[in-house]
Amino acid sequence: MKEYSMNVRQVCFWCAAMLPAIKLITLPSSFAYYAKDDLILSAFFNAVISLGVLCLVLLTAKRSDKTFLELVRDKFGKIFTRIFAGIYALFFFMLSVLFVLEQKGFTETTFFDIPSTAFGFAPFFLLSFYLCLRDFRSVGRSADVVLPLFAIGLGLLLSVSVGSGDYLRILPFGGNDFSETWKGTVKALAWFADPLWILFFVGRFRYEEKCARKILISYAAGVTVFLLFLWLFYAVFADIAIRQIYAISRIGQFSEAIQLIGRVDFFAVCMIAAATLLQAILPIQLATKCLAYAVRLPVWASALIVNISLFGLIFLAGNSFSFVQKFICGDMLWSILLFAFALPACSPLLTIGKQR
Amino acid sequence: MKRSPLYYCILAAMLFVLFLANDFGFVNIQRTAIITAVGIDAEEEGVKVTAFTDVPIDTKSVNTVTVQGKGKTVAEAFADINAQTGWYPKLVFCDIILLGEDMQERDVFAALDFFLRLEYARDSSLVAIAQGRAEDILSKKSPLDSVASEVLTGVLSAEAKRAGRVVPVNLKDFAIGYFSDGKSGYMPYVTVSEKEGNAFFSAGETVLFYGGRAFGRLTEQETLCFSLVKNKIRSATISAEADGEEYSLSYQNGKGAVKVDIRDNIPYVTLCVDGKVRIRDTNQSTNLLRLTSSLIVEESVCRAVEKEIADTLTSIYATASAANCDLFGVREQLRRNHNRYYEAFADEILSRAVLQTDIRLSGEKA
Repeated sequence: MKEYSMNVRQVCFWCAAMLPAIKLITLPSSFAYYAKDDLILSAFFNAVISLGVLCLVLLTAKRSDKTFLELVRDKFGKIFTRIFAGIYALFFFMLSVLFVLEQKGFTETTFFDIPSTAFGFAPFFLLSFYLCLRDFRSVGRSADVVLPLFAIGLGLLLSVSVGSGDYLRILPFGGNDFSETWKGTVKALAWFADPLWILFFVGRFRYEEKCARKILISYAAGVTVFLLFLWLFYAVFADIAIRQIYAISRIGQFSEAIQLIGRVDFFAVCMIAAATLLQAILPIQLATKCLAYAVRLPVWASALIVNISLFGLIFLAGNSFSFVQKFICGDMLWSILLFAFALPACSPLLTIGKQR
Repeated sequence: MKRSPLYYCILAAMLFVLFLANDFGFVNIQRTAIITAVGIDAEEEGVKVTAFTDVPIDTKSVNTVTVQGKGKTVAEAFADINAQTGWYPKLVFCDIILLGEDMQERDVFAALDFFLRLEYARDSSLVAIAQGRAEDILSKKSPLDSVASEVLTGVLSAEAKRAGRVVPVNLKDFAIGYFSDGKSGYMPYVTVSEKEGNAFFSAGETVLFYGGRAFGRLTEQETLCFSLVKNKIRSATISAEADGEEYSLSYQNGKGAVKVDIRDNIPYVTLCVDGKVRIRDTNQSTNLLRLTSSLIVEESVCRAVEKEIADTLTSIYATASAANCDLFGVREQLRRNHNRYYEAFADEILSRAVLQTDIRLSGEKA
């Protein structure tokens, strides 16, 4: 009898909390930069693409009980799978650089009143290293713990921000140059690589009846929350939304209550940060596991290599998030399209001829 | 001893909060200056920044001091302050940015963009223009509070805004206006009157901007009328004269709006004010019955006030339009509601539009 390290509830929680959380940091200002007041439309295209690929990933989960790498191994053999896992390790490492740099900038700007030291962000890697040593059970448990925190945090943040916006600022809907709106969608693909994360959860949770429906509803709920947040964000900041790089830390400051009693909205930001932190660590965990599989290393050695390399790279990169974003979402866009969307979309092909 | 998982969860949560609170950063609080107000004055070359600073003395008390720095830019002036004092200027608690009167002759955003650029400053800081030099205003002693900036934040508070007498604006809203197609904005004009060595502040007048440069100023009466259109008013006092009697009316829960319509290829701009009024006082003695029924306001009084507000708004609109200042956000309304006409009308809408006013004041019927 196969032992599963996650359950459907945890996957649903991950879809409803972690996946929208990571999108709340720099992505709103990125959408505003390209799509201006059509930022919701731009994000909606992303959501539709991701939802479509997620349906195909869930079809894979329905047809087979095996993990993605096991399916590849069955189809193409061990050697190919090890090379394949190595390539995916590199891809996850690349995404980790993007997400960790984003986290670093967000943490240093939001929770530090003045520029912090170069090692101020170092404790992140201790947490990351610890989680890399754990199996997928820790991922599931994280989701259980963080969903209520995320829900309370976001609820608090929305409640203090909701009175500060002019909600008609997004009009006229669809009035912008469509090519710019579409560019916003393309540049945001790295943050919408959601089907890929779920693909790596496949085979680690028992596929039950109505499982796909539950996961899709959870994902749709998370995305809807994100779209509503974008509306609020543009309602508050309008044309200067592009300057508000770290959306969740800026949006609550205009409430009269906050101005009287101080930035208590930071408690809400901390709660949301717990979810963003864990989602930023997920690609590091997956890079560790793929590297361990590819070169047959013990997990602790793989975790050490990945985390030390990442720490070194982040230390060298300093505050060059914009440059890295431009490189990964521009020059390396092909890799995101291939590994985060095309291959997950093709994953049901690996299950042809297989029956549970 | 075996610890429960809850114990580790609580421990981890505490460490997480400490990490986020930057207690691991070990910033020397004695070397940190919490700036609560900033004054910026024009100099022959560059600017002079006056910072009101709360310096921690011990864990329970602070000492408020004023420090000044000069530079070609605001950032350079802050660096000068840092060089003089060794303090890290913390702007996350800055409530107000007061610009000296000389600053309005240049593009004020050349100074204000420093705060918008800085991740460690907040966009909710109030911005205002001072009568004379900002450094002089900020150094005044008020009987209401020993720190002038504290009194000023009260004068420009959200409550004052809801009473309609001032139109406070924060850095974010001024920046939105400045970077919009209208390139327009406004700021309260802070004046000071001194009685027996005590300073009393007022911000009833409003400076108008186009492209970051000031071009005119609304009087207190004009500011009130502008406020009726622009803001949600909870309770404002409006003066009126009708049938030879002077009235003070309380205008309550009022709403204003700007509507733009295109009919037969002609743009129409309508300034709307809608609210309830009741008699607060008159300059003549009255009988007990009338005193009791202060909700009842005669039609003639309402119409007289409506006319006065309409005339004032027409005058404000004309003044602003003459300077191409989109004070009422007409272009934004055109873009939102009639986007297909935007290209054709946006540039000249202020001068081409037919202005209408729709002022509706009502009391209880007798």
